[in-house]
Amino acid sequence: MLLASREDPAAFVELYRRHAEDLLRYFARRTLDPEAAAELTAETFAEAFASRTRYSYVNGVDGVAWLYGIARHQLGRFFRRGRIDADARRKIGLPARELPPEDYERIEELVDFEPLRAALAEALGTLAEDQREALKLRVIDGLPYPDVAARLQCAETAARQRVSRGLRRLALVLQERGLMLTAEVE
Amino acid sequence: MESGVKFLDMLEKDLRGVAEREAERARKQPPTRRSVRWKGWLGAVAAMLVIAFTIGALAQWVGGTTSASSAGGSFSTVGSAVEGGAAVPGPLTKANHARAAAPGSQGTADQGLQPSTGEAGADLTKIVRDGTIALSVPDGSFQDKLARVGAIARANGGFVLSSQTQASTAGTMTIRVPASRFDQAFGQVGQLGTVESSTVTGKDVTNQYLDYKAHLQNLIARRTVLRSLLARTTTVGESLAIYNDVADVQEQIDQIQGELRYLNNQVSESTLTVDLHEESVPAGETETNGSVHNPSLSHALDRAIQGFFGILATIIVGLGYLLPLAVIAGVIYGVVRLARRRGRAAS
Repeated sequence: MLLASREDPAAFVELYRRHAEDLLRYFARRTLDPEAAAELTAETFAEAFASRTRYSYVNGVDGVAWLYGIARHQLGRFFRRGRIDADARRKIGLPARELPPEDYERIEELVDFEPLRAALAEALGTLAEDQREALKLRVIDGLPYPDVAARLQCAETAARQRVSRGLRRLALVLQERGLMLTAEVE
Repeated sequence: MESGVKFLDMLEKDLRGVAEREAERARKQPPTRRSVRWKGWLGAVAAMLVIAFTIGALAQWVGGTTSASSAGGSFSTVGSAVEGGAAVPGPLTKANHARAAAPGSQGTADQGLQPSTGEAGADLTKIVRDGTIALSVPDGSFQDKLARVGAIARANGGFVLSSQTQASTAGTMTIRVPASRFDQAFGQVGQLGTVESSTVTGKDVTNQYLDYKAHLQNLIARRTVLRSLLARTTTVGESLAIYNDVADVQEQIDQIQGELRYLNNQVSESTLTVDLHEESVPAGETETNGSVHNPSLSHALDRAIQGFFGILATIIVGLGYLLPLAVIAGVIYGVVRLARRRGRAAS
């Protein structure tokens, strides 16, 4: 379909119809953020559309794997930079869209956060008090490490260690339950 | 979309719009055709460069063969000219004759550089002839062979100009022999071992020589006039002014005489550079100057630059042959196309 879209751009829409929902679910599971998931989905498809002429079926990489390769790349950049690029969307002239309010719940249903919530609650329960507090300040409140350290009245290195160990513990519990959460948060 | 996520529906609509715009643009300006045309031009240019390189390489090879043979002809000529001693003057060409026959060819002190006269039709060609030869010799015989190279130089009336050795197994000796004995010495040196490579070069300095001679004769004439004026001066001021002029002219005469002596020396004697190495020593470990060759980045870079410009030069030479042909082909193509169009219009 990707190959067909090189000659016929309309074929790309069919590719989108087939994989958009899965991709949105993929991002939502990893970011736990419906808004970020939606934006990442849009940027991934925009990037795929812009570079579809460069795709060729080589080394057994099919179109879906190629698409998810772009998705992984986007996700990695999001976790590293803390923001989502809009370069590809601008390049192909895709308008900026806000996530409609009703979509937040719909995406949560789509991902089925319930087991994730339960696992998270359990995992958080296994954490030491200082790790749980550090995780809350860093991940939920989004504070920078110097602020986390100030709130916890400890050195910045110690704050980093608490967050890191807490995340590792969470990832382990979720993995045991078959709910992979990326460990790239930090 | 059945997910019920409105954002995905909006995104689908947006993507469809982008795809339609893209398709519309493609219809107006088919990219395939454009890219095919672009690739076609690229291929044509690449093919032309390859053909130009091939033609250039062939042209240089053929040109090299021709110049080598013509140079060989000159060598035999200069050999006989030099053998007679001083260079022989004479009307090689009318222009040269005019230059050589400049006024004021008198002056005893300068006649040492004047070629002997009375050999009308003698060859004036002046060629500086040099050669290099690389030999591999049996192990343990390097010192002996090196000594024999020196002996060959002396036996032919020459001498050893320089000698460099490396670990008593490889080295270079540069000898000078009379030009008339160059071939003989070259052959004798070649018999000392297995010849791996040899080159003989000839540089024609005839024009330079004749220019110097004409200039010298003019200066001598000027000096004669100045001297006669000096004899007729009545005041000290005039005498000093003319004396200074005479001194300037004399200085120039001395300079040109030096150049002529140098040229005569270069022509009358040839330089032969002999690279020797024992068989167990790889040839690549010695350079023509005898120093050990250590592969280095600077050498590699030099060779890369030389190679780059060599290929560039070859392509330029080839283009020189190819471009006129391309122009002719273009004209023929244009004429044929025009004729066809007219034929179609007529029918």
